[in-house]
Amino acid sequence: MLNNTVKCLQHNVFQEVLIVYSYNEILIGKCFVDNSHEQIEIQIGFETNNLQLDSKYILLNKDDFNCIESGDILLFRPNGTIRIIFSENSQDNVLFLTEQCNNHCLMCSQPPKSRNDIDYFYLLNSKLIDLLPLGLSKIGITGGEPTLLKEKLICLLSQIENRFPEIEIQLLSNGRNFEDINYVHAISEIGLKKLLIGIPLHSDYYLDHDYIAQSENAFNQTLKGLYNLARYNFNIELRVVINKINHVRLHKTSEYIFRNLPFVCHVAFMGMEYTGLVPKNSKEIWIDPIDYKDELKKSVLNLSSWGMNVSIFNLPLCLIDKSLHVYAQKSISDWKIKYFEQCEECILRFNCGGDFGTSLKYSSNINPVY
Amino acid sequence: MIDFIQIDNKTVECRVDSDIFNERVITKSLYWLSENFNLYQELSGKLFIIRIELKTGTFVQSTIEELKSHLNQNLIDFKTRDIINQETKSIREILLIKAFANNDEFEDFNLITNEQV
Amino acid sequence: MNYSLFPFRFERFENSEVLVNEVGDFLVCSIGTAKKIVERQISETDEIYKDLVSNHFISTSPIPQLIDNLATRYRTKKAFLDNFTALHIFVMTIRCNQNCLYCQASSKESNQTIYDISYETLDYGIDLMFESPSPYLTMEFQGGEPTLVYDKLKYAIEKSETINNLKNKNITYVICTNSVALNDDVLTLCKNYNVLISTSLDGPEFIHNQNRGRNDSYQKVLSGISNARSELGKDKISALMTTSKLSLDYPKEIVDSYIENGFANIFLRALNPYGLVYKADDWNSYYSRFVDFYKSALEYIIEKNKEGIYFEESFTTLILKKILTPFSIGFVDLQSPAGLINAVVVYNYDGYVYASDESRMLAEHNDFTFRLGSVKDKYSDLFYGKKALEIANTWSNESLAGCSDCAFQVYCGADPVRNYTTQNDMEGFRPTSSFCKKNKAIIQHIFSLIINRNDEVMPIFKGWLNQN
Repeated sequence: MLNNTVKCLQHNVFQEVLIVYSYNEILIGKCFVDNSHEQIEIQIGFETNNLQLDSKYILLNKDDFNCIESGDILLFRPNGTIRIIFSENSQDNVLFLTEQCNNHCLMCSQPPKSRNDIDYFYLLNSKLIDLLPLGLSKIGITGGEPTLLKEKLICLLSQIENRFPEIEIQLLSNGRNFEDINYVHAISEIGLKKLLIGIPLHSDYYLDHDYIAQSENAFNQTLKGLYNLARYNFNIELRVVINKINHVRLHKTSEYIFRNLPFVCHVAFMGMEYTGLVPKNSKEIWIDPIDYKDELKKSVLNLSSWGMNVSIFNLPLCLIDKSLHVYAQKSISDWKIKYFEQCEECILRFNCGGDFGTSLKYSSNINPVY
Repeated sequence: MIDFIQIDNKTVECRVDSDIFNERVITKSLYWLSENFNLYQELSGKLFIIRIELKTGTFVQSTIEELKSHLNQNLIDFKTRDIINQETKSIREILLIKAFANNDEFEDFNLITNEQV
Repeated sequence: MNYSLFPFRFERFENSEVLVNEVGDFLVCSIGTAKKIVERQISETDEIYKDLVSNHFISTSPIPQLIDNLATRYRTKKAFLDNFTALHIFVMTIRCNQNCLYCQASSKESNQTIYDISYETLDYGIDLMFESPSPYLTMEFQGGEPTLVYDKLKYAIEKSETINNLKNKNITYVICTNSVALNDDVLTLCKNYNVLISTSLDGPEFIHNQNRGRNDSYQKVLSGISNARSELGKDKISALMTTSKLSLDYPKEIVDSYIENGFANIFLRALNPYGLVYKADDWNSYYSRFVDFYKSALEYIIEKNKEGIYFEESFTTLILKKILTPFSIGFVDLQSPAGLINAVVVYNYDGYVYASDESRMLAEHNDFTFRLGSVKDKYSDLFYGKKALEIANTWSNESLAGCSDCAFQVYCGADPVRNYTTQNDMEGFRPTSSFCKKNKAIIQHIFSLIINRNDEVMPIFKGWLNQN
């Protein structure tokens, strides 16, 4: 499998990584960095007959170079940029399967694109899976909408199961394609031991859900998908991203979840990341979390009183009621956590998951708790 | 809504338009009165003639008023229920069939009873 | 506004209208709402429209999109049917060492063993029990007083254990005893086979003794319970009370006696109109007073919980589970289709199989209407035979006169035996049915608490539900 090694050349001004590949191949490589950081060895993770020295090279500046750690897996793009697509030291590695999505949620932080990229990402990820370190305990799968890969998703999951029988997988999906019971059955047949499927539910009322998802019939398909998954005993996490439209019925949504979806293993109420489509739809969708403090409290305590597992994701502790602090998780990916100046004085600082570094706008109520 | 004619000191009678309230609705409305009353219903042309007879004692005005109001309310409510039942008859059947259809034991049950009977 | 209807029922209640759908989801609305819905006067911009759609009362298409989901929910509500007969009652003897006023068991004070179950009947009965498709079995020993026939108890349990080595079912053993004769032998048997004890405690001493017809019964029962607790563990002993006429005046005292005696729950049970008691008396008056008794006792229990004492009323919890959760309950006496045969069956000391506990009491009065057959008959003849089919015609309240339109149908049940015993007809006559009046009054009372005192009672009620 690994049959090409390229050594990095050190230069006085820059530290260059000399790499060669042809335009049509997907080039990813695993890094081995020696302690002095003077040398990066990259093993190209696939076979190629067309390796031509000197057709292309990539320049890394010092900062980027210093970001790369041993065990990182890099994607080398045709435009000369480099991306770390896996990092052994991160808790938040994901396999990105497509930028396409069959929903178009108003608050989407990863705005969908319409270009058909399935073959590309399928190929990329199937090579990536082969490069992943053997001790890997967990991985996320996301997009866009991963189930748009159809059978290719099944192939990838099987590939993961083969290499990593004990791995924890968190698959994010809008759940609509699980309306097809045969698809659910096929995924079940793979025999993954620790698969958690995270599915957003925007509202108990189908029109509100469909509106937020910007997709007709989304609610009905997702609900059918959820029941199909329940038939096969999948672990399901419901994700409710709270926004200006759905916060009004939040408590009723929580009741709906208990009565109709009692089989889910976890319910997460989530704050919004002010990025992606949010700025554009801000007037309709953005709300300062302090304004839904009460609804959130009622909803979380309601589900919790029924014995369901509930968490709060992506909300700083100062914006939620004190009784809910025990439910708040440090859920923001490590590389994008942000604290504010005023947070230095806050007694809750070390338990708080902070806010999104990627957000362009924040609540005006982030204040230290004394 | 419905007017009562007093026939004697323990019997009243009323007429109900069968275009507005069908027989099922009337029977159900009267069912709940039958603890304390004997009830007779008869279709005459387009009207149901209903005779309500106290099982014990005699009528006083307040009892008649109460009875009138009770019967009126029953008629309205059971008419609403009748419409719901009519409109949802097939949904209910589909619901039950879907709820139990996949249970193999349930199907075996039907096979066994056919043999027994 | 054009929408389609899901099946639902409604009833006016206090100043509101309660709407209940086919799976027990409910909405509390203003009076006249059902009529407005049917007349298509609800518009999409009304807030209630969203509630009606979301809670499966109306749908935007004639065949609702989520009909499969609703069918699954319906199946969940009827999940008690999945395993068929799980509770198998063995009436070990009709002899007893007490003389309870209200004895349903027509107990005979005698040493004559003709009133005991035979080994042969036990053998046949146990075999029938194991033919049940249910992976969970509860083998419950009743009487008279089952501890009077210790040898046969031991035999029955050991035989079941032996057979179960092959069958591998999950069996629970229960002995229903008055605790007066809980000797070491019985306790050792219970310890060895993890047998649960269900005993009777009617309340404080003066009530209990009067009900039992013995003036030392209370002390003996307490000492029996205490022994059993120390031998087997507190969680293995549960108590049931029966509300005699005398009991009706002492709701608080009865609750207090349970708390004082270390119980964490009580089941406020009315008398059944069978057995030795009150033949000539006015049952209507009794049941009306019982409802008042229940309300007072429940109110007192709520107060206790507010003081920090965890104490549960079991019948209330069962109703709450039906109203507030999507799940079904295992209580055999309030189901539709009824629990008899579907959930419970009785192997009587007389060598015959009966459809329910009450059915065999009818037999004591030479009424064999609910006798399914002999223990020697084939399983299929007993459980799926002519008698069963006959009873099946009236065992679902969905199709009974008076029940079929009742808003509280989903929360209630059918009882053909009760109807037959009190009204001479398995279908029953709802306007004079004490079963209906009592259950309806209690269900309405619970609804009233949920609607009007929600913040106060819901934490307590949810606490009870989470323990079950």
